[in-house]
Amino acid sequence: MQASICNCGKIVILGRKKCPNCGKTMSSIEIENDALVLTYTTLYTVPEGFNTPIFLALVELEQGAKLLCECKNENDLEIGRKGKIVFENEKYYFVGNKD
Amino acid sequence: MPKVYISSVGITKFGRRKESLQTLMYEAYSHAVSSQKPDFDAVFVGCMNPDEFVGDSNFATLIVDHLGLYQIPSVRIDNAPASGSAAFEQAFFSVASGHYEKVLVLAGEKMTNLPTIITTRILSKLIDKYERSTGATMPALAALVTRRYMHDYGLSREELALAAVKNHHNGTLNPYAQFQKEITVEEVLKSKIISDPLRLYDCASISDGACSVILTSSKTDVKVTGIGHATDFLSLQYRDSLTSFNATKVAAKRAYEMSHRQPKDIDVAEVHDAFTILEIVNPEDLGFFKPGAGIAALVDGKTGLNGGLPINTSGGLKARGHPVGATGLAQICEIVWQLRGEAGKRQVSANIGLCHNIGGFVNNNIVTILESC
Repeated sequence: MQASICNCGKIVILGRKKCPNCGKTMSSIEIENDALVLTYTTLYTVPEGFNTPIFLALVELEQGAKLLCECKNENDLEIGRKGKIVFENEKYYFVGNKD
Repeated sequence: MPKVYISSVGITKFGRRKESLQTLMYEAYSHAVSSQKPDFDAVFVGCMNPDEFVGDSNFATLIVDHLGLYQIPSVRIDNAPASGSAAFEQAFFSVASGHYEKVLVLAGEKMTNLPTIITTRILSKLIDKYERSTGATMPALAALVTRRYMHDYGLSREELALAAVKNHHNGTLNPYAQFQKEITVEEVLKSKIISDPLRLYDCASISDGACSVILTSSKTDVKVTGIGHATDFLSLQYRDSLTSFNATKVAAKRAYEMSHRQPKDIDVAEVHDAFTILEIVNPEDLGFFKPGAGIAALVDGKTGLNGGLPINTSGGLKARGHPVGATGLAQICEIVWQLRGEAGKRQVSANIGLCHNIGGFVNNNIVTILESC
């Protein structure tokens, strides 16, 4: 998946031109979609237009890049869980690896 | 540089109020200005979002018109839920520069008039656009931090609930607090689940209220000795740590340097406990306790009214209520009362106090240090 990286070392997911850390121009790079769950929540009081509940995971990818995304399966909500990021219906999802 | 002092403060009772925002600000103003001439050089108004909450813009003019402060310069400052302290900060610099001698700071918000789902939508706009496209709300981001903190430092759900229990106890002693009722750990754990592991009683309330503070270059008994302000990345996913916040650490460092004080010098503090986890993380980031030691400080009562470092004597955002734009200035009011010995049943012994106000999801933070003199 696409990430942006800067000479200062900052790496962020989703393309952006200017580094949020130092303001210099970032380069676009492709990173693997392997991901590790850092933390998670099940959100019950959801904003307008969303169905309850939402499974949210904050995951870490290559080089420390992080991504907040939805999780398809509640059983994948576990700190340290390994899996992959998939892109479907204009959204990123974390899907845990099969044990 | 001229020194800056606080001459008086005023606050309204927080909670579900039927009055308009300008009426609430007038009430807070009346308390502060009672025995003084309203000869202000300028007015600074902290208010996050009157456009969406009450349907008024140009609020800086509206409020001086409402107060009868004809021709006095007035500006509104929106700095997310740190609007109150940001207005205070800008007012401070205007006096410290020598340009003004006496200025009025007002801060307030009216939020309870809208359905909760609309209020939630307005507050969610504080979050990065991508992150909120996932459905993430402010409580969801706080829940992510809470989960990771529990994992890293062994915080239990029951220990976390003590933050709400402590601040509700303090709220029972504050006549201006929205909630003046004790709660128990069991009640916290049985309250409605919002974003696992956070429940309703882990979250600060939607509230109405207003505050006012008068700053002056003429000596009084309370001096503003330090103000530090720092930002962080808008996105939580851009940050290195999920259990500590750089915007607090840097803002605190700047405030300590300016006041020539250290964390150990602080006698009392108001910290931004919009969610219970922040009652533990903020004191760590402010340098009061090492990472992870905020748990024991809470559990052992160190941050209670009779502890070595009382925190949120007012009841904090949790029990005093959190009308977003008002909160930062409400913290200043509480510390002034504590330094003057005017805090009633929640009075602690204090000569130096600190306020810590968060904007956004912990990415635009202001730390202020006030001292008796």
